[in-house]
This record gives sequence, structure tokens and C-alpha cells, in this order.
Amino acid sequence: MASAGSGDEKAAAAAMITLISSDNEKFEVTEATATLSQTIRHMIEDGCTDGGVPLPNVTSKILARVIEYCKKHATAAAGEEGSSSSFSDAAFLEVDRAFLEELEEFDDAFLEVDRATLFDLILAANYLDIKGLLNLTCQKVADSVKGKTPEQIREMYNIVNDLTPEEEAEIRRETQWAFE
Amino acid sequence: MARRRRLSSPAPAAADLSDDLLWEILLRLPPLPSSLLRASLVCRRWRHLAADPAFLRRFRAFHRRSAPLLGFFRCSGNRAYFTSLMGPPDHIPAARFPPPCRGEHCSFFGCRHGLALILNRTRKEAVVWNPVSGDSRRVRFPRGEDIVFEAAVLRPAGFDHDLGQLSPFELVFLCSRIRASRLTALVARIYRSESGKWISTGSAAALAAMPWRPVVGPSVMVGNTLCWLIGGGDILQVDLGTRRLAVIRMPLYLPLKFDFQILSLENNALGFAVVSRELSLQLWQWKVELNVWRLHRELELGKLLSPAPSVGKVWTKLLGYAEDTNAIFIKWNDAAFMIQLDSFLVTKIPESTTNFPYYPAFSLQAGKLAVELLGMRCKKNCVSWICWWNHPIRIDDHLTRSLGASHGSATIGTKFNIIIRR
Repeated sequence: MASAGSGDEKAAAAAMITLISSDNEKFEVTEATATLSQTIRHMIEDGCTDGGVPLPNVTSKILARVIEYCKKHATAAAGEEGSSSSFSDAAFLEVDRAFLEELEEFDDAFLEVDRATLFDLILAANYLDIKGLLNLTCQKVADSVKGKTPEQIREMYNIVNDLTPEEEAEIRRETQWAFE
Repeated sequence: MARRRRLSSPAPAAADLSDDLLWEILLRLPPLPSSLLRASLVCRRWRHLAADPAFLRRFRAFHRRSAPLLGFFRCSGNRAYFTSLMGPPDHIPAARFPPPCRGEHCSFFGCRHGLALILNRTRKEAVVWNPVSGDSRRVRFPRGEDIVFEAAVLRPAGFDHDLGQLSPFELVFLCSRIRASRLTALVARIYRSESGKWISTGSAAALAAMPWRPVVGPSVMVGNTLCWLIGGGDILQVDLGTRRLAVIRMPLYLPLKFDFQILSLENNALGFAVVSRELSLQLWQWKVELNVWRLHRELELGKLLSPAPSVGKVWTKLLGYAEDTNAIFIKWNDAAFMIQLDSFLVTKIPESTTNFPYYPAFSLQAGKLAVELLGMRCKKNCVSWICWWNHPIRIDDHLTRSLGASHGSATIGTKFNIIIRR
């Protein structure tokens, strides 16, 4: 987990950041990977990363996943930047598309987790302020709700129905078509 | 009592998420009529969030680009019926949008910016109607002996309508008078709801010089101009900024019975579409700087929709156009289709056995209205919604590529609009 990908060795040599999970596990990542998190970026800018960055809200299990995501997306971002000067427009578009497809595949596989993990990832993405990851995970939850009835949604996410029968009936009466 | 448990891990409780995060999730629900309605019935907290005006504004902005067409008004005789383009649970009954006036003297003049326009010629009044809120306002025709030939409704430039508002709006009438048993050249009359006054424009020199010809609606908005087809195949432009009329000649003589339609192409360029004898949909663009028409795109309808039968004539007709979603409606043999012109997705329209003109009712802006509807109804402690359509059929991949559109959500292809009229 701690080793940098081959694609960003130079960056790795330049600056490594240590992240410390709530259960005290240490993860060493490149600055490029870490700064996908706006929270950590600000800490780096403020120079408060010596001795590691404690992340008391994120367990090692979740942090490992988050780092996996950041590494992939940091590499893709670096690849895009690098390729822009050395390819013709058409070739660049091809490379760009390949990157996007690969990234999409990665994201799909990344989201193959149980709902509890998904929620933990949302919380971590929010805490660490990683916009891409937050978008990805929230979209996954939204997709899971898509086409479900209120009853099914409640069951999926352990939600207690606190609407009174009258309130419920009122909504349904006007818009019965949406529940057919 | 223990919470329900799943096989491997406890089912996550949405209660663990802050309102902000729940907001982020609800924001990503598909922009379909049933989405937020169903979410509103999950529990109080969800309902509270889904009905929050601030949330609805974000929802609207978030889905601005992807909001599908909601449905359209189909005119039969003097009546306009709302026709949803979606199946259950997103199919909204026509009864949800009862027109504010109907009868033999009422004619439907199309929709724009979330408003619909109906003219009652007997009472000499225009009825501007917001189908979502149900509000309407009557506007007396301009004084004088005007005969109103065409009319359009729109929002003032730069106005981003919110919350199912009725006002402000503008009306543009194309009128003529009878002088010495002949019709005078068309002039435009513009009404602004804010001032409550009609303003007149002069006639276009080209119009005054030619024999009177009919105009054919509905209008198409291209940039800050409203465009109508003039009988015989030219385009009449009403510039809403300068309030001037102009006539643009078509590249070739196209009798009205030909299927063709004014276009609003990329960057507000004027264009038109025509179905050629070879059954291609040709898109032409007006090059302002060169003062010429150029063929912009050509789509083989047989490939795009369904192969033409080997025997007999193919029956095609352009039925309508959604300005905001760049979608055209076309009748092709016994079926009608909607072609999304920026993605070339084709959708078959249910129960399309008529040739009545289609007035796309709620497109992109009206996507906003759908959200507004939710907000509005919530004030009365009720939630309602209107619909979008979501069953696109993907056309052949090779065709998609040849047209320059990419797959999936990241569209690289050139965006352009077509307008197709009845």
C-alpha cells in the first residue's frame, strides 16, 4: 500500500506523505496522490505534515481503499498532462479516451463493495474533501435507490418511516401515477 | 429490538449520514418524475430535504444538461392534449395539465420557456399559461384592425424563470390588415408583461415588396430572433433586440408541402432541415458573413430510424421540435420518433398514429419546471412532478461515429439543433 506506482517515481522521490489511520496504521503516499484530498492539500500548504497526517475519522481498511482510488486518479491526471505535448490532437484524443475508459473500469470495480463500506467511503471522501470520490460514491448510492419504491428504499438503508399515514396518503393521492 | 442485519455486515443506516451528504445523494437521483416523489415518501427527513427550495435549485442546476424532454402537447382540432413521453412510473396523465381555455375558438400556439400560448380569436385575447402551476393570464389583442396570423410566447432575454412563475413574459404577434381588399405586409407586435403594452415594428422591406404570403408556425427561436417560415419557402426573422423584421431567402424553391423546418444551429446560427427525396434529413446552415446557405449535415433516415420498406412509398413528416433539448419529432411510416440531435439517440414515441403538430412542452427549461413543481406543491404540503422520457434507443455505432458523436456521457460530437415543424 505504501509503495508508489512506477509511473510517478520521480514525484515519489520528491515528496512522500505519511497518512495515519484511526487504528494507527501508517500509509506512505506521494504528494500527488495525497493532494487529491483538499484537506490534506491544505495541511501540506500549511506545512503541518511532518511526522505524518493523523486521520482519526478514517479506519485503515477505508483509508487503504481511498488511497487506492487517489493513486489511480493521480496517475491518470499525470498521464494526461504528460501526453498533451507529445501527441497530435487526434492521437491525444485516442489516448484521452483510453484513459477515460480505463478510469471508468477502475471506478466500476472500485465501487463493488457492500453498502456499509460504501457509506464509510462517502464519509471519508467528505472528511478528506476528495470531490471525485464523493461524487462517485454518492452517485452509487443514488443509483441503488433508482426505480425503488419508498418501502424498498427504507428496507435497503434501515430507515424508519416517521411519516403519518395521513401525510403519506396526501402525497400519494395527488401523484398516484408515480407509484404505479 | 435489533436492527435488521444483512448477511455479511450490518445494513448501513442512512441516518449515519449528515444532511449535507444525504443532500449530495438525493442530488444524484435521476431527473425523472418519480425520483424525488418516491424519495419524499421515505421519511420526514428525506421529504424535508427533497422539498427544500435550495435543494431544488441545486437539483435543477445539477441536471440542467441531462434533463430529458418531459412530454409534448399534441393538437387535435382546437384542443391540446399533454402527452407524456414516459412509461410508468414516470407517466403523467394528461389530466394533470388541463388547458385554461378550450373550445372551437381557441388555438394552441406552442410552448417556450415553460409557458404555453393559446389564442382565443373570438374574444380577441391571448392566454398565456404556465401548465405546471396552472396559472394563466389573458392579454387583449393589440387595438386596431389587425388580423393575427402567428404568435409566440417567450421569456425576456436574460430572465431565468424560477418557481413556476407566469410573469414576466413577452408575446410576439405577426399581424396584417386589410386595405382595399388586400392584406398589407406583415408587421410584428410585441407585448411585454412588465409594461403591459404593445409595441409595433415596421414591416420588412422585402415583405412589403412581395405579394402577401402566409407565415407558418410554430416559431423557432434562433439567438435573439424569432423565425417563422413564410409560405413559398423563405424565413421571416423578428429581431427582438432591434425589433426589426428581415427576410432570408431559402437556397432553393421548396413548396410548403415539402417537409422542411427552420433550424437553430450551434452558436445560434440559423439553419433549416429538409427531408430529401432520397429520404435523408438534410441540415443546412446560413453563413451570415457569406450570405449563403451551406449543407451542414445529412442523415440517412432509413439507417437512423428503421429501414424503408422495399415496396411502396415511405411516409415521412416532421412533426415538431424541442428547441431546448435539440430534439426533433418525425413521422416515419406508421411510427413517430424523436431524434436527439446532439447525441443522435432515437426514441420511439408511443401511440403516435396522428399527424397533428407536436409542441414539445417541457424541455430543458421545463426540466427546471419539473423541479419547481415539486417545490411549489410542497408549499401546499403536497408533492407533485412532471415527466421526462428515458428510454432512448441507441442507433448503430458506426453511424454514431460517422456523425462525430462519441459514446456514453462524454459527448465530443458537434452539438447542433434542428427545428422541425408540423
